[in-house]
Amino acid sequence: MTALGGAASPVVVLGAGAVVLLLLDLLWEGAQGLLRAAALVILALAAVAAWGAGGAGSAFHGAVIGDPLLRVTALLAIAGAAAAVVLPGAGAWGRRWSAYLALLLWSAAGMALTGGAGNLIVLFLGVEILSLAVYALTALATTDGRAAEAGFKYFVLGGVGSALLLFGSALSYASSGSLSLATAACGYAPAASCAAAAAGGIPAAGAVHAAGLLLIVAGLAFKLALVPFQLWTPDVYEGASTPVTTFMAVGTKAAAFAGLARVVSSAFGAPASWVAVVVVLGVASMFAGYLLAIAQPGLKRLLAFSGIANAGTLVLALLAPEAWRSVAFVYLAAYASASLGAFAVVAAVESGPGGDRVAALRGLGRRNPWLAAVLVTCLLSLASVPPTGGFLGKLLLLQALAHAGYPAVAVLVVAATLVALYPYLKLALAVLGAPEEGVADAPRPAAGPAVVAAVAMVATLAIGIFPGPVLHG
Amino acid sequence: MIAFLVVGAAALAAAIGVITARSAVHSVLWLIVHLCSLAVLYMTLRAQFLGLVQILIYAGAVMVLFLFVIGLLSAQQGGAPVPRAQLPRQVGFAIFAAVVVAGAVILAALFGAFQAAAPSLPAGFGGVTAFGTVLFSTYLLPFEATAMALLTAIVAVVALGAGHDEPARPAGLPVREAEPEAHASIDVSHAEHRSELAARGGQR
Repeated sequence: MTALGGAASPVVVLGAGAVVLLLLDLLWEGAQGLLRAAALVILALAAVAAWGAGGAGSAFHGAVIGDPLLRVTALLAIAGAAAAVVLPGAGAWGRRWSAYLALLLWSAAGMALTGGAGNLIVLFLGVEILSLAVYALTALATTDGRAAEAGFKYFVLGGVGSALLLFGSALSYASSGSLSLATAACGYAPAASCAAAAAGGIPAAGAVHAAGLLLIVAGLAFKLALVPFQLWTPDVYEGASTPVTTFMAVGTKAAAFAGLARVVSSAFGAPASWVAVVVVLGVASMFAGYLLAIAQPGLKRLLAFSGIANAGTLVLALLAPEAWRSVAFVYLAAYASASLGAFAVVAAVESGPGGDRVAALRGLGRRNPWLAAVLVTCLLSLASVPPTGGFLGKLLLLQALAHAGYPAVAVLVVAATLVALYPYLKLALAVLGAPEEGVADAPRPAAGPAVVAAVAMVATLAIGIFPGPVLHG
Repeated sequence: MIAFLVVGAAALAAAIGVITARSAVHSVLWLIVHLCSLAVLYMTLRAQFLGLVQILIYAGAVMVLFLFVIGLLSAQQGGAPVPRAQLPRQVGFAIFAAVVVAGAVILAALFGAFQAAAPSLPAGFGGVTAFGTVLFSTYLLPFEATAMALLTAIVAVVALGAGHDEPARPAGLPVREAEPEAHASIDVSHAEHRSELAARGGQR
């Protein structure tokens, strides 16, 4: 697979695969089953490429960096796309089915590109490709007027985020003369890792560079849905069709985090003011997300706020200079598998009366024990209860924070976790409790969500019990 | 230096023309003059490629698009000049904003905020040859990724504009208003959009 472009091979496979799918659509005249199978084959090829790319080193003059961060981001994006291909609701696109699949693949390609970005241009392009495709995917759902509203909202606010990212990149380049992400933060933070950059003649720049970096972080925080840039999240999660929301929750989070990590990880060992940016974003997102999750009437909105809170928690991992990688890999993988499982359950029950309302989920344990088991496992993982992956991710995060000398932040994480227990466990108890009068039986899930749910549940538990393979990406 | 002064004055005059012209079409024509002046300034800075692209893309393609949109939107009014001062006190705000931005740029230049980025430039910098060499070697991947971004956008627009298999809700939002079928499905609800869409439908 290295022949396809080394570190860039997953991007190449996904991008070319999307074109192939559009051509196959003409050939097969929109045969949905065949196209679905072709999309899954392309995703499988891309997964193989992503696995190889993780150790490929940098390619294209340092534009793409083939390291474990790229591998994890690309694999999560591919997993999210695969779930979006097989979940129900994904079949209701009619003759736009091939466009739906192609946009999914391109978006995943953008995510992989963001995960491996080696310079600011590639970072912006990756974010832009993934966003453009996701805006359209959000607005594509035909059955619901909320989808168009969500798509438009996402487009406008996402455009602001992209503009911030671009403006920040321009300022950073103007002041430092370098587009490379390895040295992006150097002008601002003359850390030990930047000594080489300084020797290479890149001058330490002042206020302009700092403003540029802040704008870049703000742009990526939009995509990652960190407080105070999270306003679009609940409406978009609710308005988009469930397969698209699943893809967004898993892929966009991973990609935006990877981009943010690439920008700020070179800045540590740095002045306290820079650390404060990450702490404020992370802690605010964590508490706002968990507190607002308490009052949400629907599962998709609850998962949206859970996504905000988890993104905030994850960002705090960046405070640990070296340890953040393994923490982030476990945390991201655990969050992604728990989200996949929870969204698969949403996809299975939302066609019934009551949709994804919490009231409609009441008593799911009596009506459909398997779905309930998946949902409860995933909720426990999101609430960081052992032996799930979510618990292990949180534990590693606390350990890393304590080692890096931020015990106060670790205490805040514990406090937020205690707050988080309430919404998740309340929902889990409702699911396991007695059904309400007059609620019809949950429809029998189709094969798609059943497979996704089963895989997600196994993955959630496996990451918690055998974290070895994930720990090192 | 003389060329800079002459062309710079032309650019400034054209920019003032853009905001003072009574008709939108005249504004666009002034904007073309302004953008061409900028292109000349780029060329005097030895950035030939940037200058040419400025003319091709901005003065050419983008301005044609502007004229096209203005033609579509203002055909109803017969190209009548728009009345002045549609926003209250807009002149005051505009002058204030202009002074703030200009002050910030002048201060930044005086205090040398952008000095750091001026190491000695390689030979041929900004020329077509140097630009092409860098574009297809160091920045090959971003170049190709841009193609992918554009293709994504095209497919997304086609998919969104292709209409629906089943009768869907009427177009109630700007995203959907770009659809060719939009004016055919207005008779259900969304009265506030009806007149606007009907006006657009009438033009077609």
